[in-house]
Amino acid sequence: MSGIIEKPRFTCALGGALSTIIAINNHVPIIHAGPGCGVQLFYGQTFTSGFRGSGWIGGVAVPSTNTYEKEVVFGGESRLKEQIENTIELINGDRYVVLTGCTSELIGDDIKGILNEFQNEVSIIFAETAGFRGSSYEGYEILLDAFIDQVVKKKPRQTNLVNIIGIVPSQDVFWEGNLAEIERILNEIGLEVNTLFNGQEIEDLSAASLNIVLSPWVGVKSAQKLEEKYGTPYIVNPIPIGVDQTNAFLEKVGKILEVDVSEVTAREEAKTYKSIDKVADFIIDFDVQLKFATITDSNYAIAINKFFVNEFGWIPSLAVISDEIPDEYKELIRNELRFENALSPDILFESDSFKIYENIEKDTPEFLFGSSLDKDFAGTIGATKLSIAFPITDRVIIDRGYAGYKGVINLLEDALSEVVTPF
Amino acid sequence: MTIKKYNNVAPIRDNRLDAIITFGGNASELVDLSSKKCLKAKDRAFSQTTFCQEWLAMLTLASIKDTVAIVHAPVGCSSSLTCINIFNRFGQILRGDEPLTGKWISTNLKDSDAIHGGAENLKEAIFAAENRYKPKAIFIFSSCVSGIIGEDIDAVIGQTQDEISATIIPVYCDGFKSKVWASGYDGSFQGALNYLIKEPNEKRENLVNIINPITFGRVDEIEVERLLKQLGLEANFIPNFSTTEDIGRASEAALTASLCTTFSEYFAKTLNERYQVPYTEKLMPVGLDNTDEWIREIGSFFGKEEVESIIKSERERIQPKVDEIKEKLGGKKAFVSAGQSRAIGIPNLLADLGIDIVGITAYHYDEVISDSFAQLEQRCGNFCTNVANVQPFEQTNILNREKPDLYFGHMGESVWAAKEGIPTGMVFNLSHLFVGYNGVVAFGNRILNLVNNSSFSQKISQHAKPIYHENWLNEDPFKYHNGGELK
Repeated sequence: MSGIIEKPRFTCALGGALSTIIAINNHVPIIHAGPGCGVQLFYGQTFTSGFRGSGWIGGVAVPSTNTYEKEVVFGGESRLKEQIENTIELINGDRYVVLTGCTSELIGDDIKGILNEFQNEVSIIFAETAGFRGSSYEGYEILLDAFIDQVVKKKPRQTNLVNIIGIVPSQDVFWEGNLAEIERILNEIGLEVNTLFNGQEIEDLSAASLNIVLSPWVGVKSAQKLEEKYGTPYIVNPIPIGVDQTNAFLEKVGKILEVDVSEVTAREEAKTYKSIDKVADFIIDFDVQLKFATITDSNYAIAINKFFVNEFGWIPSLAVISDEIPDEYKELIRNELRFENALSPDILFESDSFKIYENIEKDTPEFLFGSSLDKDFAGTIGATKLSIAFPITDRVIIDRGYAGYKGVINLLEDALSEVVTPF
Repeated sequence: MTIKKYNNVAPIRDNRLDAIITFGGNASELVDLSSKKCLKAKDRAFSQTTFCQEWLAMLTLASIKDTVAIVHAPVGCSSSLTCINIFNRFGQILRGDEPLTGKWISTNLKDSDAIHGGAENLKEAIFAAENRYKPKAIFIFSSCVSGIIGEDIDAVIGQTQDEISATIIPVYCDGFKSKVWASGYDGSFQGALNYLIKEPNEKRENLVNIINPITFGRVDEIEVERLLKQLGLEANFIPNFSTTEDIGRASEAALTASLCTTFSEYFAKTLNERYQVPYTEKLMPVGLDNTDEWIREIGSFFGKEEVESIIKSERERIQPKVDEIKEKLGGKKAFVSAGQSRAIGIPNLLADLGIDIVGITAYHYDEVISDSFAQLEQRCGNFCTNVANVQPFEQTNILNREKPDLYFGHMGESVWAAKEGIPTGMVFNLSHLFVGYNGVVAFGNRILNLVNNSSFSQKISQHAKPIYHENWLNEDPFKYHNGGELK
């Protein structure tokens, strides 16, 4: 039995897969599920990640079989077949991706058989993303797996190409800005990057010299699979925020690919600290050394705690990790959050908002990195809050990112602006 | 403990009201077919995602203050509550309250639950809701998964209610069970009717239940209060932003009226059957004529002869302001897409301002609006008519044919009109009045802004990548309608 969740901070497998598909150029999702899934997940995943809109083919434009009672009783295969035919007729996509939901998986439609009829005509694949299969993070992984099994072909190795995986669009509200910064700094050290979302081909995932899993756990299995199939090495490196983490990240990548990164890290470090220096007076004059807690997924928990403890002098209290993480990855996360000088945060793996609040309350943090769900709670404990984790409905996010060197300046502007808001 | 007297599952509108979600043609055809009872329940061979009844059921009850919602489903089925929470908080702010985020719990059904059932999760959620918040009521929303696996929610309630002080209320709204998402309103109201409404202690002769969808703002309620006050009547606004107690005393009211009959009709009818509270049938007080009729129906029920003089003086007061706007907007062409009641109300309001109606999309069509729709057709002519549960591909095609100057629609679909370069106004906006006499002027002023500066839709459209093949715009917009049994 899985646990109940008060005010969840992620959606279902279909939600993660859908937000990923609509983020990839010219990819057309076809939901094979009940009528409401696409809208539920637009307003529950995309729109509530800083008010992101439909884009090219998201929102209410997503093709969907909208299966009703008839399909639940008699099966939905003929409806799906008709829907695929007509989607191809109406919409010109580079690839069509059938995402199955709870109803079609419970009634057991044979998706593969139907897709065979279209394989010669167009590129079409499917992913089994029923909501009961797990969270948005797992939906992303299921989709990535489907890409590896059904799309990726063996390609000649490209020595300067790396793949970035592990970032789930909208679940990471800052995904686009984060990936742009990661791509920028990897370009700086002479690498080309396939993020899935930057116009590179999915097919070419096999051509990379290195797979970079930018998360402590999301996408690790896919990286292992790519290693087995194509011999590509991988590293697991949670998203880096700030100078120390980003330097270490580039050094790690540089070491494996035998690229000298020292010039880039030195330059970026100098630039970043020239910027951070601008708030030094404010931080010192106003004693802005705050005790903080985080309610985020594991990726942000690591990056935020590392930066604010090791580079910004703040005092950690509790790091709540709200993604439902497979047990095997928990040790890695604990290790990442073990700091020197007794400055490690306490760690709580918990998705249920009520239990999260019960635990944070005891610690009385002055600053809370969380989601917009935590607005009332932050008020009751008198903490200043910045929404950096899904869902975010109290900020508008367009291209903003927190990763890397440039991202940390955004992060500081946003966090410190919350501190001075009363003035 | 509540003694159950009634079925907890409300009948779906597909059957009860012969509701349809698919029609394409012109208004007179729809009037004709509808009056002859010859409408067919067609399907679509291509469709885009839409709302399910569970979404609307959650929306119906999400803002009731002393309650907790349990969504008995995989974790995704409660996700939109974070968005609905925006309206919940905004609505509280507009009412001068400290905004508080709602309380909801997902039973987080996983694959093993889909096989073995999720009763244990549901019990855990019920106890959590009780112990954490001591609410007056706990709503349990069913889902596709709980429905398909045959979860017996009533049985779980039977096993737990004795240990729980809150009234536990099942809301049956499995997404796949109805093609008409408005059935979700009925599922929610069925729960409220069966468990929350109390036997009246007294009959309150001046109290009128006003059923308020969350998409009406406090400004709209104030306009209604203003009109009712002139008749010496008091409003009991339910269910949104109310308490279980406000809902419970609905049986004491002298009358039930509604800001949206499509939303309220099942509740109003059933309340009358059980507690003899008569109800009005006029759609919504939007537009001058509709407002006349709406307040007249209430006035004549209470035998208030002064209603005619109130209407007269309101009309005289407002007409110069309406004329002023009409001068600027007269002859503009508009397309309206909305739920069926608003798809009548807004065009009437626009017609008051001299705007021509070139087309309407109603999310569904049933007998609740058939008379009003026929009246609208008489007033506005033989406009293009689409019945569609959103379906922007049909809308894009129609807009390219009809080339309206202005578009009015709901969240989600309107952006697609803006991407066609059409200045786009929302048919609901909690901070702006559109109800009653003053609503016509307030809405008109917003349209003036839209006309005076349409740079946003112009710019957006110049850079939007089209979704559909170019030849789709030359095809019959209703090409993918198929099949259909006679209703």
